[in-house]
Amino acid sequence: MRNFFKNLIAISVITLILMFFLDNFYSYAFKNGQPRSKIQNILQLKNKHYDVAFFGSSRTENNIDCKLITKLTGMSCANFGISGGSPGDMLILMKLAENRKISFNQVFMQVDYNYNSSGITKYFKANLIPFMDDPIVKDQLLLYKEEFFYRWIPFYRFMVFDKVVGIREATASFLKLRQNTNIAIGFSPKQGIGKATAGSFAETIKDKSQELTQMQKLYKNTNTTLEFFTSPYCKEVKNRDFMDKVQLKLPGLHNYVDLFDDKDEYFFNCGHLNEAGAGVFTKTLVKDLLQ
Amino acid sequence: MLFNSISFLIFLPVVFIVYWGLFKKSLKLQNIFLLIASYLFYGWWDYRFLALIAASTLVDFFVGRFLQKTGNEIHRKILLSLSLAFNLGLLGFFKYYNFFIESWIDSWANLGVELQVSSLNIILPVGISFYTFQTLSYTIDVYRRKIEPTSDIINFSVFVAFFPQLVAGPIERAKHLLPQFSKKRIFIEERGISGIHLILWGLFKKIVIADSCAIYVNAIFDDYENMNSATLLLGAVYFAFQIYGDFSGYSDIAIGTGRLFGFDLMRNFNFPYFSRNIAEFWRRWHISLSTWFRDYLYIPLGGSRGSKWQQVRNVFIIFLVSGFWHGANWTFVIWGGLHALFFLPLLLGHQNRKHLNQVAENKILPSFRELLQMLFTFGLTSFAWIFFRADSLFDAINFIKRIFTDLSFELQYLSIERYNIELLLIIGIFVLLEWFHRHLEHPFSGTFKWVKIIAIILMLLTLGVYSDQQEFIYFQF
Repeated sequence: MRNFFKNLIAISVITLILMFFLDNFYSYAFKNGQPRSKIQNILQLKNKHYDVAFFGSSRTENNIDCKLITKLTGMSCANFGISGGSPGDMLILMKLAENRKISFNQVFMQVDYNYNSSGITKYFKANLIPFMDDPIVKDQLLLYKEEFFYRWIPFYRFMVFDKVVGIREATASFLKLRQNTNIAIGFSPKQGIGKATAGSFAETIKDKSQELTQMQKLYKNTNTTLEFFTSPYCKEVKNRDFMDKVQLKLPGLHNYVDLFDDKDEYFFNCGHLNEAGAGVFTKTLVKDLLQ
Repeated sequence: MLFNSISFLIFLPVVFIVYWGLFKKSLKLQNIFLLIASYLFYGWWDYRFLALIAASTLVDFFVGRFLQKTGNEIHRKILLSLSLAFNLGLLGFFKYYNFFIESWIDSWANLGVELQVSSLNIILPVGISFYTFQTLSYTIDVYRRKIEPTSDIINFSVFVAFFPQLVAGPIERAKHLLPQFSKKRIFIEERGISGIHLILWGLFKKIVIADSCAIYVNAIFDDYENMNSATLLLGAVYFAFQIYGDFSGYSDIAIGTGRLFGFDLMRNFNFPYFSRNIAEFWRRWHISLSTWFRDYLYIPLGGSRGSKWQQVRNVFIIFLVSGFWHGANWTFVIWGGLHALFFLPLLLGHQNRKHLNQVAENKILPSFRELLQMLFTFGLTSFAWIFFRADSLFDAINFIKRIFTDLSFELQYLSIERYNIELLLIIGIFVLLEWFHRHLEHPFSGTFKWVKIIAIILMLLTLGVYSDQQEFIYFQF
């Protein structure tokens, strides 16, 4: 059995060495390469100030045009919305921003049905994977009782999340290839008109959103004001009165859920505006909240 | 338990160490331990269906025993019928019940009669088509007096449930595998090392080739109405490699695992896409099933003897049954029927026993003629795979219709955010590796053996699909 075990050990050692090497290469590429996601971008920023910043999901990413805000008000603006992003994801982004001394005068957090969600999303977690040794990332992943043990097996984390932080992204980051969309500005408009996927809000609302409460704590007694807003939905969405319940939980909420009830041409689908709708909505926000 | 799972990565070394470490000196204990390990392996998926394996084992074990005891031909026929009825009954109920009920309702509905018969929510037990065929082969061979029935129920139980090949084959014959449970097993280093190499190669085929192809295949087949001719053609080619990587990868891991425990399992694939005609393809694809049908269906029907009409009938029966074995859907039947049609000209022209050797034997490259023959055969099989992969006949026909009507040949960017060129490159490397090692089981030999091992491990780590891991396709059969 000697030769057999020699072969087996050789294959295992080769595998471990390759995993160790790849882990270091991928980590280096994501930490030092071209940022290709908003998470990577914020992790590479330092000592930066924005007058206004928007956090949320695709209803922020697709609906808020920061370039337009800067043009209309002269304010510097960043859109940190991530498609599919949850309040838990946004809380980590806010904490990372604070840690890297990225400051804001005004922060707007988009709230809608996501009031009921908790924890971080798989996509967001995958994006955090290369930065697991960062103290904020580490704390947050521990907080959500994520499978933290895989940090002890080199490269395993990149294999588990290969779809998001696999060889394609690592190589693109390493070779400093840019994304088609400008992630520093963060606005990614939708094209076309439609009202598909109407869906439904929940019938009940949970007692308290831990993540939103933590956001309020984070910006309490600082120079940053935190406000909550809701992006427009088409009128076909069911249980839209869910937003009245959210309003009771967050009294200062700027609720625009019915803003475009008579403007079907502004929707890409029931939950997202198209580029024209995003322009009009951004102007409304500027007029109501930034002037 | 999946071969490409963490649980198997722990299970295999533990079983290996206990098997050779603790029970090396006792064949009986080794077999009992293998039986427990095999039931654990299967029960990991769904322990409730262990009862089916146990029942199938007991029925065929005792049928075998009684067949030995009685010389009365009528009694022997009754015993054989009992085994056939039990095993095929299990298969029929779990695999085909809903299909027959729904087809029955549909055919009456076509005549304007609405029937109120409800189908059942039946879960298909993994591997049922494989182990029922394996036990059936035992009973039929005992009935034909080709083998002696075993009197050791442990040996027979582990023959039926042997974990490396339990859920997706190779479908072993009792004549080949059963005696191996009675012989003292010694660990032969070279066999063990080749076992590891086969496992590594099988994992590469599954995780890198098949699962990468699956991402593209799903994107193309699920949205074929928006795909152009080029993408649809690629979809068919990708599926050809997906199913080959998936199934032959599984077989390699099974054979390799068997070797680690001192067993020799039959070869299931022999570079089928290097075949020069369909007959050769079927001598190289899923060998354990095609030889099963040959021995237990085709030859009893008369095989290639008898009148032309009988030969044609036999070919159609064997291919249609083979298609139906794969699943309770008309798509599989049509797939089988197409292969019968492809095979027919060879049979009628007496060309079906041509190309018994390896293509371009002792040569580096094939001749131009051989290349064209291989491409043509691959084209035919890929065309038939469209039916195999499509969700329904309607989808398969529309898929093919679109290939011939869209006529746009630009490479499309897919919604999965991956480029075709990436996958084509991986497939290209795979085909070259297979071509230059087509006289071997795996490419890990020669001067550059370790370079190839390192390259394959590197590709497994970087190009392997882990977050979108797919079950082995043949688990559903």
